[in-house]
Amino acid sequence: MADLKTWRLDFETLIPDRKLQVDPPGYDFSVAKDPVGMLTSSKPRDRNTLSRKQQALFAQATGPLKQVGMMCFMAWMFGNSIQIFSIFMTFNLISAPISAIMSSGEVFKRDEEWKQLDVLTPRLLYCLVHGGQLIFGLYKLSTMRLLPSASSDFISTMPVPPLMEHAYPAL
Amino acid sequence: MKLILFMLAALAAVEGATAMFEDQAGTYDWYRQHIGLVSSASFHPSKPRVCVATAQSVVGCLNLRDGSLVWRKALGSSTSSPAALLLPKSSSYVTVAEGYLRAFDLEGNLLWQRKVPGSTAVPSLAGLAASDDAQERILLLQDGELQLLDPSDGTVLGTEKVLSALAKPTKIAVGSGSRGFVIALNSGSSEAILVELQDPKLGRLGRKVEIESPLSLSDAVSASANTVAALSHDGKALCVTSVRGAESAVRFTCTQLSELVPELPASESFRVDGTSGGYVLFGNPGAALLAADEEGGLKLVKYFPAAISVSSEIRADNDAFFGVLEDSAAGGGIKLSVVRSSNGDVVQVESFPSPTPSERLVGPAPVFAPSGLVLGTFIRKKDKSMGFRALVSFRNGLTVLLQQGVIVWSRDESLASITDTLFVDLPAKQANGTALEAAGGLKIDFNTRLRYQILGAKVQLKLNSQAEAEEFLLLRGALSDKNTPFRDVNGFRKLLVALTSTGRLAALHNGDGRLLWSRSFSQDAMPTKLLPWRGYHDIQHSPEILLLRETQPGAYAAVLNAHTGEQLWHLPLTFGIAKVVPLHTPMHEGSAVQSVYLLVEQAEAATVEAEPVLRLLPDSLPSRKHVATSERSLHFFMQGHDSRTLAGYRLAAIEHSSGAVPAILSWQVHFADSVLAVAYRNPTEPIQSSVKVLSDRSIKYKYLNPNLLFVATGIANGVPSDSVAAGVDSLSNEVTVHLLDTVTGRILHRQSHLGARGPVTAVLTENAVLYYFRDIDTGRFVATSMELYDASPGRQFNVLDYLFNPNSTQPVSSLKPTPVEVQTQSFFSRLVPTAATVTRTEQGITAKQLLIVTNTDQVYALDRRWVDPRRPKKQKLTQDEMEEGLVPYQDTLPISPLSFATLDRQVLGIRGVNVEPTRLESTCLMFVHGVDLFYTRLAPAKGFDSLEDDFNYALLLAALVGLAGGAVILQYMAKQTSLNQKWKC
Repeated sequence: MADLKTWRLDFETLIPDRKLQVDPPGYDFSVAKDPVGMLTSSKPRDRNTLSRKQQALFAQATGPLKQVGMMCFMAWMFGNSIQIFSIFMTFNLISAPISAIMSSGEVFKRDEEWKQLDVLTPRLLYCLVHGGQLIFGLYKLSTMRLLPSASSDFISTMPVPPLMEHAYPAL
Repeated sequence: MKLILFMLAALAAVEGATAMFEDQAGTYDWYRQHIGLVSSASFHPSKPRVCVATAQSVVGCLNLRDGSLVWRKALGSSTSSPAALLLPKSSSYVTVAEGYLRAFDLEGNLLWQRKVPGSTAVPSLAGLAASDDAQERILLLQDGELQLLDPSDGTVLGTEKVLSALAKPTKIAVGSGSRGFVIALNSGSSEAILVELQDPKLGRLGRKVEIESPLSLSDAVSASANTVAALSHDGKALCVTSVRGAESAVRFTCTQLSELVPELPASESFRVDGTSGGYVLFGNPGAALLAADEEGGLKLVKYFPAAISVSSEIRADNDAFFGVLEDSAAGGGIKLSVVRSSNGDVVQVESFPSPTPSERLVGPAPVFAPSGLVLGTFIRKKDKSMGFRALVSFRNGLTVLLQQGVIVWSRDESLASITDTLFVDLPAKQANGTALEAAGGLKIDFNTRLRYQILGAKVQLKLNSQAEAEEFLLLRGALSDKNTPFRDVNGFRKLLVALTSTGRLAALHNGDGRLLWSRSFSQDAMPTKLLPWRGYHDIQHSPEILLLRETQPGAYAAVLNAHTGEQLWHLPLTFGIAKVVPLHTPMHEGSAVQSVYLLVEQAEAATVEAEPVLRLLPDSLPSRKHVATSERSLHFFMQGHDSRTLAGYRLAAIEHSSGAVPAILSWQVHFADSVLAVAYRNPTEPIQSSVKVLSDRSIKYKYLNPNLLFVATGIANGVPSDSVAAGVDSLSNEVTVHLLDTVTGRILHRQSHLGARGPVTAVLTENAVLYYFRDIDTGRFVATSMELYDASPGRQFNVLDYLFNPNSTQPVSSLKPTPVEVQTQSFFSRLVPTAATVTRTEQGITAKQLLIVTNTDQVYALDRRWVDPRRPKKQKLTQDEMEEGLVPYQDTLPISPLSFATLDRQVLGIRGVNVEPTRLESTCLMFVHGVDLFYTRLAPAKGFDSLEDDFNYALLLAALVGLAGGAVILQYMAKQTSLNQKWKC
């Protein structure tokens, strides 16, 4: 249906130099160009699809980049004060990439039909992008002083050392 | 979001305030007003008022109808009773205390006040009654100078140096005849001075006559119409002289009491009261009415063998009467006889039952020994005849009004003299039935609870009427479980055991201050100290408390069951106790926690210089072993041979000695000036952390040596120094503060404040000291705050070592001292402190508040952040400084009216503040006692770990049900609407 709707000829399209020519439905330019190849092997077509699929995968992997940038910007805007919103924000900043990385296997599924498709690299890229957000989240936590990174964070409950002598008041 | 942010900001701003809403008043706090132990009283002849002066230096008037307090005023901080005088004609109550003569009207308004020049000794005060040709006058004797004052405005009408030759103290007595005269003498001397009022109308003082006596006279002196009598110094003879027409030299003629009244048993303290025709001699027991003729001869008129109290004479119906109180033979009640003083006729006899206290009495029945009796008259309504009423004050603090055979009202004032208090746990609900009886009152059913919740919601939404608000308060009191006599999970409900100076041990419920039991001790077995003895971890046993009587003769230690008041054992001590030193490591015996004390023996007068001797309590083999193992090296310190010296002692090994343990002097510090204040840390104070982490995450180690003593020295309080008086060189006055290590006597730190004087008030908590002194130049009080840190160089902290090595915190020793870093800062204070203490919570995690007792008899809760010495001296704070909660420095400490822990109450004459932690970390209990009692619950950092007690669950439930119902209805409506829309298409 959709193809039929675009199947329309204006007078403008009849101008010879214009490339905006719409091929009729079912017309394949490559097949028309090389009918023999089409008939003998499907490889070129496969290669084409494969590269497009690969491209799509990479696009999917770098897709969250914008979103991550936005999140980091918002987190930066919230400042380092400890409030309910900044805490939510920071929690989200950390939990979202972790869950995304954990479920990256679902996103980049190995396609059984296209065995030669490289899934690992875009998946790693995807994880890297989310890892960036995670790192920013951790940095945010540390600027909010919620990350026990200094030695002083471990001794707040250091007990009072016992004393050898006791002197009691009798005043 | 903005709203929430605003609310958060508002919450942060009010942090630390102890304020509450109007309807919360009385939820966590209770307040009892007292007037003190009545020492003198007088009835107003026409108005329904009885005005009293008490041993707690309070004067006031009571309503005669019900004994309620009409007004009262504290005249000073001393514990001596002020001299007081009710002048009926001018309706004023004249009092003298602490160098001021004051006159109040019957509503408590100050009419006038005059400074009484001279020494601080309590002056003698007497009144001249009004007669047809004479006005009322006040006579005041101070430092040998007699003054005659006008009661309307206090102007001095005449002065006379009567006793410049005699030493202090002096006494006056006023003749009751038509001619006024004044006798002044001093105790132990054999001469007296008589001053006649020459012109009674003008009130001028006149002729002065010296009277000699064959015997030296005591200060029991009185005057009748025309004679003056004084008891001899040995109390065996009564000396009388006539003052009528005393042109020639007059002499006292003395008569032996054994001749005069042979039946009267010898007594240490006779009292002589002048009547119009003679004297009443009172010897407890036994009273004799004596008639004196005009020449000074005495004659026995009537003897009352069973008299236990005698009132002074009153005039009514052109006659004079006095009251005699006797023990009624049957039933243990009391009998009041009114005697006509002219002939000894008993005109009225009434019997009264003994006053019965409402609480459960434990031990021997309380003895009702009267300490004062005042007679008054009233007119009966039905036949207009005259009747007598009497106000009797008993030694055990009870004051009763007797009239027409009944006790009209009684006031129990013994709790106005609390000396020691102790919080103990209440029994558990499952415990055996010996526990305290359940609180009676309203029957609680479901309807009542429902009604309470509905009313609560109404009050919250402000839809209530006045009556509903009152009902709500009533129901809240009845429904709240704060008054049940069982312990609760949070440890809010406690038993408050209080020891009074009247020899009464009373157990109060801290929920509403009602008495659960009380125990009375006789005068010669009065305990002087109340201490914890034994606590138990299980719920079958009751906690035990220790009572000590320190002074010989009759020193003893006794242990009582705190829940029932029963005495478990009584141990007479062969020595007097000078000091009690509680050791802070308790001994564990099974489920019991036993407190251990060291008693410093009272030295004999001859051997004051000798080293003190100590005894262990309980002195048993296990306790010796416990002390030997828990205290590796035991020291104590006390005042040396004078008040400027501190002496530290080391104890010899306890385990091997028998009985008394000798102490060996190890150090002595002599201060150049008087010691103004000392403060030390409560060794049992819980401390959560020994470090402070700054905003840059650097670590500061707190200096937490428990053997730290703060001593402030300076010019003694009340001593006027010449330079101060002259107003020059105020800098020569200084207050010096010292921090001492009490094991070695080493002075760790010393700092001086020039131009400063006492009184000094100090409190030491954790690693912080706060002390107040007076700045002479500005005349204001200065609060100086010190924080102490360990400044050992190169101290390193290893996280792994701390986390995994249990021995990483090494014990420290006073013998190997660490350098101290002191941060200090001073502030002006608008409060004038008289004492200070600090809040205490279970674990010590909650931020502490300093509780400052002010001279206005309130307790102010001061957040420690206001007196932080690190408060930066700039207005704009950095992020880090704000994060640390630092506040910009201001030279004056802020005073927030919401921070008064005593709310809007005045706790008259505060003598002690007792803070007890609860099992909830956020909350502690505070009991303030003085003449008044005040109890409240404090949450220094707000209640972060619990819902409010009056949290309205009904409102929450209603809101939830409403929301759920609304959601269902809206869902249905949305479905209908969308269906309709689909049909339309």
